[in-house]
Amino acid sequence: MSKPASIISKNFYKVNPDSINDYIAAGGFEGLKKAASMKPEEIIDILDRSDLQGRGGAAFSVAKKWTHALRVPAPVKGIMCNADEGEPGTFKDRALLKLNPFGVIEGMVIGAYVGGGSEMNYARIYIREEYTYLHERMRNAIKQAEEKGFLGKDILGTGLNIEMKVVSGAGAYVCGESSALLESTEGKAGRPRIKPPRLNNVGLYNLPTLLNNVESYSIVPILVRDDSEYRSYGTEKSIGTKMISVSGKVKRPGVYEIPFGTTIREVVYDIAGGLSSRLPLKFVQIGGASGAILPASHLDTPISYEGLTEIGVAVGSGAIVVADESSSLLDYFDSLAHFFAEESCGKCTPCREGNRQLVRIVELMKSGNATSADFQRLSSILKHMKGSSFCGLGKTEPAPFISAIKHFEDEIQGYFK
Amino acid sequence: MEKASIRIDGIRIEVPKDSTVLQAARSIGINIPTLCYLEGVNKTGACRMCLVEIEGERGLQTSCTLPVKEGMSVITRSRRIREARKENMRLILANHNSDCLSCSKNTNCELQSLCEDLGMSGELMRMQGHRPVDDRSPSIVRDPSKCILCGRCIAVCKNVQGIGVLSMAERGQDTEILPAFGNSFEEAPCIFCGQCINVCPTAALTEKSEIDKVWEALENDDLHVVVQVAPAVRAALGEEFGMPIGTSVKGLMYTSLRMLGFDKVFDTNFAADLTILEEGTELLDRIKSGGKLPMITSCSPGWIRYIEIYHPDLLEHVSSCKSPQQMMGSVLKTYYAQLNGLDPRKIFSVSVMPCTAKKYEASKEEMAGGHGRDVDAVLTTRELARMIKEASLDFAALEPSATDEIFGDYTGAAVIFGATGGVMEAAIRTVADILEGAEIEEIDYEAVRGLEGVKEASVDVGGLTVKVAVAHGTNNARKLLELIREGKADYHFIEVMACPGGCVNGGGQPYISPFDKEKFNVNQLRAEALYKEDAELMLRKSHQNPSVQKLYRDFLGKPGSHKAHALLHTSYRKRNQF
Amino acid sequence: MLKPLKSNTEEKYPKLYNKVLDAVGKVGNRRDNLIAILLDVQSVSPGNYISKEAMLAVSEIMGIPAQEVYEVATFYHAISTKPRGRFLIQLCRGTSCTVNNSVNVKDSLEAELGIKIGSTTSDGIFTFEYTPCFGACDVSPAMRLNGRIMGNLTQEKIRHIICKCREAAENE
Repeated sequence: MSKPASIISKNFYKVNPDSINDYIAAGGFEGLKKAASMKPEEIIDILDRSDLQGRGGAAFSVAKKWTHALRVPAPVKGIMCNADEGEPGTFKDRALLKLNPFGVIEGMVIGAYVGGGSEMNYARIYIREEYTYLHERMRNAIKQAEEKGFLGKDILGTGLNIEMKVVSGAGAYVCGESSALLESTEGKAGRPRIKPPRLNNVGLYNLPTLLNNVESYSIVPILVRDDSEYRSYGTEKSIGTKMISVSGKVKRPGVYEIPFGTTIREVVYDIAGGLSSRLPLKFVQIGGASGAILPASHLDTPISYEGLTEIGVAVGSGAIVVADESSSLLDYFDSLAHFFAEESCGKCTPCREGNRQLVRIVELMKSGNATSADFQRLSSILKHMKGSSFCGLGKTEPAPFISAIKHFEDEIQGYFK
Repeated sequence: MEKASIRIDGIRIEVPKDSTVLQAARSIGINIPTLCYLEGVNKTGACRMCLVEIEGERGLQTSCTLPVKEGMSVITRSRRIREARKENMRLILANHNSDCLSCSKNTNCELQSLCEDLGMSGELMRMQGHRPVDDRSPSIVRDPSKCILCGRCIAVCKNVQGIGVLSMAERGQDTEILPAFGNSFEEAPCIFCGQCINVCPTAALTEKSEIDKVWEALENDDLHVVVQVAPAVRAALGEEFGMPIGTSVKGLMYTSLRMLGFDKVFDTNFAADLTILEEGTELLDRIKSGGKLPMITSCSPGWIRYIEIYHPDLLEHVSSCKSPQQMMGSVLKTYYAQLNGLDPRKIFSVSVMPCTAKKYEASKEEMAGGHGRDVDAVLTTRELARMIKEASLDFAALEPSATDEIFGDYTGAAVIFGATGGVMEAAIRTVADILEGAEIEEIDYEAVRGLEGVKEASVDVGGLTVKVAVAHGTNNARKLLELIREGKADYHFIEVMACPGGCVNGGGQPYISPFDKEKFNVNQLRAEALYKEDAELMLRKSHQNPSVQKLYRDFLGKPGSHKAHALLHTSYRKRNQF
Repeated sequence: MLKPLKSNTEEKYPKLYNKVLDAVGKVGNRRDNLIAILLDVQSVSPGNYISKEAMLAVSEIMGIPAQEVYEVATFYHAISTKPRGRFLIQLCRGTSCTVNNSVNVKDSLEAELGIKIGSTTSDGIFTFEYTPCFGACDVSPAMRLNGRIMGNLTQEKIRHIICKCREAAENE
């Protein structure tokens, strides 16, 4: 259970990521070939029996999403890959893009085959600007895939047409939100769109669009080709494995693939080598910047959808940041508050103004001038942001603050006079 | 239209299928609060004031964007919603300049009204520092400390006017709505129409005030201060004193001006009649001698700025006539001064306009002569109301009076200038008589009246079929200009007003709340007041104005004369923005 | 919608205008390429930023109203409308880097550069600012130097990096 698995990351450091021939030799595009002989519903069944959840953080069933796409037949559609990965502490998609780019492409083609447009599909891989050193590799991969007939016209004789491009972000975490991603892809400011309509009906260039995360797409071809190994891992309600990124005060920070059910303790101490300092562990943040902050007492929680839900926490992006006793929650709050304030798109009142006040209160905490009235303000603002924000950024942002206040009540209260 | 059956707060209703939850609620008197929403203009779900609960769904949703669905059950009033609204307002106020007592929108501000409705209480967070006010332009002032980022101004400029001067720049807490590159409105390709001011819920956008300038002049015994008032003002000024929309307060208006201390009270309508004579003559001249057609009116300075910036290749079509405001200004400092033995340099000429672009127009270099500036100060309808209040006048209780002699005399053709189609109708009345060589009886040209974006008409007179078109709002003007470019505009004469609805909806008119905008057809009501006055006047054709006839006889000679050209005409040029 | 206004950028700044033409030509004159084009023009502009003239040129060449170009340019963190130093040092303020004492890195850099974070040195060589997490958490504390990631920073490393930068600047 505590040994890292190697299914999603099977090709890492073993297959040359710049060579499609190497990828094919290692079984690449077998999934696509098999899919091309199957009905879309059959492919969805495969994904469903592994209960594959969206791996960007939203955890929406991929089978369900692709079923919805199937229910909106259209001649032209958009196929988006969200490679914006802006969640602090998260760098697992970085590894997938760097070490297995063809897997992403293969997954997107299968997605287009299942729920894409009958005449044309505009596929875009939106990669954050900060990963600019990976853009060329993906472009190269696309070119090779085109040359081999896995992209372009009449793919594998199925009549499927895909035009795939890499699109660069420009430094905006909010663009990781699906509709903001589309706005940015279309060359506009990345402010989220009103929903309804959902992007399944109106998305890229107003076309019905399918959108998934890098990791989600990477897993699809593996399952279609042969899901038996994947399904041999995991727990009752969380089948398979997950890519996680571990960082912070650990000896071996990095990207790992773990079976669902691995406990946080096993990740921190067995896989990541334990704490890099002599001090004991103080807290971990699970799932990214809007993930919960948990104390050492929760280390034996299994990382699975049901395991984390039981303690009121989400798997999120699979990031785990480890802090030891030398880290004050105030510094952590400072980092979080400034992050969200910087990244808020500014459109809606709760997030824009809530973050303004949040930063102000954190500054008061830092200077020792925060009062109990400020604590009341903080609580009200967090509650409001969670319930009234326009998009996921503002809605999920309060989670770390609320969990920290719950688990580290004394320390937090100590910052307010 | 198919209906959907939904429930709101337990009340079952049937609404058109394409309604939003907000529209459905308002149709039964549940006025869900909104700030950024403006019917027909802005629908972004940004302010989050209109949140409602939908039974069976998690989370609150904005009712302004949510379409109704058959069987939906909406909750607009619950503890959760009430608290959310208050908290939301607290956050807005925490970044808002709450010095209401010294704000020009005090008691007339949507944010204030909403605070009252929500029952805001307790101590509120104060704004921490703010960006400076931008008052560099002659017409529009932008105060970021009062902006709640509703985005209505961006929407009206881009979608209604088809211009789009404002950007929502930066992001997060640095978000600011301003002209590109932080330019002033004058450096930006802004036409000063002030439609943005008319939709701003707070005082983030207001007109550049000239109230102090006017007080100073009035209190200066050395100066002879005269005032002219535009037609659209009388149809709206009463609203500032609680009177119903569309009440004409002509007499009260004149009296209040006198009581403010103006030495003479005149009416821009006199110059409107004058404009018709000059412009009608110019039109007939172009028709006869094969001049540039269609000819386009030039009394709307927002429109002039629009064509100078955006369509300078078509400038030759524009009439060379100054606007009535400017013609009046010239005439007052020459003929009027002469008649009364006054030194023009001691005359301070003020105009009261429904318009913000008029402030810019009066400041234009070419709007002056040997007599000094045509017009020294321009007040909007709103500014006049503020002065009346500052002078502690009980407006409604004043004795109505009339204007002073000669330069307050006008015909019915002049007063309808304030409505879209009014200038055209006035022009037709005169041009038709000239072409026909007789006095035509039927002079109500309904085809050019009303609020349709582009209106067309043709009049058969004197063996000629005169074809005309009328556009209001620059987006509609553009359509006609494109026709001209394509060579498909076979009109003789086109009237363009920059503001949708014409001057009655100018950027300087009393602020109307969105609720009132939905309840009343404001532009129609105000225009009706003008058409009513026209119908009741004895003289309804500009060329019948005896004072204008006297002006020509004694001073100008005839329409289009050399002197008329020197004083009453102007020229245009391409304006390079950026 | 209106065509964007023609400015006099082409005649006044022909070199810049051509840079924009090149950038547009590389990816195609379509609205969805706006961000890529702005980033490209920025990377070949002295000062490593997008000037008002550059935005006007983009507006004209691409047929996008200047107000929209301005909105996009000011929205994104990776596009700057103010000139930056020869070397742009962006220090991560993310959660991992905070836990791994990026504050020490900030202090070291401030000492080395002689400026507070959020400013540019008076000789215009270095601009030093915070930046949100750029996904290099496994090598935290990390910074980006003109886009290149430098991780596992220590005082020694920082001194060395700044020294190299200064040398490079001198040799130019």
